[in-house]
Amino acid sequence: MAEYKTIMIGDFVDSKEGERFDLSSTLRLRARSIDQKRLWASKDRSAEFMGDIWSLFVDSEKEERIRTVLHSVCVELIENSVKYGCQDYDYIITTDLCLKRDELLVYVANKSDPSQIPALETAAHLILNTDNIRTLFKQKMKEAKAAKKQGRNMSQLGYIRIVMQNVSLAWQIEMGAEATVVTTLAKIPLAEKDA
Amino acid sequence: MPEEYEEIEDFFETVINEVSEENLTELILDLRALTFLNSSGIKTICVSLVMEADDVEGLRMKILCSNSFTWQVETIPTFKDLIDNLDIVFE
Repeated sequence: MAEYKTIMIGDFVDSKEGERFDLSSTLRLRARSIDQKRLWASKDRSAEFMGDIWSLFVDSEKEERIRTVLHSVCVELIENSVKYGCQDYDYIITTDLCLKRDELLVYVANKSDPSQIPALETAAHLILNTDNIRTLFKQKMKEAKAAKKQGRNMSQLGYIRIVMQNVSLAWQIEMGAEATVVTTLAKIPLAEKDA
Repeated sequence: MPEEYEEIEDFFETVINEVSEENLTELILDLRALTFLNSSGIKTICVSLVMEADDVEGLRMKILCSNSFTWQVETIPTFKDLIDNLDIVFE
């Protein structure tokens, strides 16, 4: 019998608790109907759309910041989904946005090749366990420069960039018989003072 | 796909080579009209231009920024963590 296993990293809140949210919306990008190049080309528009629409639902003085942060969070997470998503399945990317009174939750889920999960877990723990995100940014830039000199392309900056905007991250990894589903959750606080 | 920044990387490499060959002392990057940049773009600027400029002896780099764009206000100042010889000017 197939073994199912779910791993949570960080403070993950299940999106299935949707009825507790004030507003929610879902964007599904279907792999069967959009090839990867078009998907990649569309990611900025999708992220910008999310930022534009959802910023309208927060207090007006926060609108500009939320638009920018939401755009940035969505673009990084959708990019990761396109890069690391598995094209063999039907829906490869699902983006859920849920508005609670004091925070905006962004869920991006994609089916993934199980071989990529260990690297994701390492990156997630590195982000969550760091005391100083700017030091980690500096370290990753130095590593990227060294990699470039060796002809390799290395980044891992997407998650760091999200956290640098005072957004927290969590992950849920569901390992099933046929596929692994990775859901990344970004929590954007609404209650705090604007930076 | 991620290689979309290769052209810009090549351009930055040309700039650094010419700055170095001509013994120029100042390099200005004007980002004031750039409304948004993702992490791959930020990495490209940091790794292929800012950190490379730091390796050119006698060269000081200046980045012109706009207060109108949140991403610039929140992100560009962190570039000073990467090199010492960097002026960041907001307007």
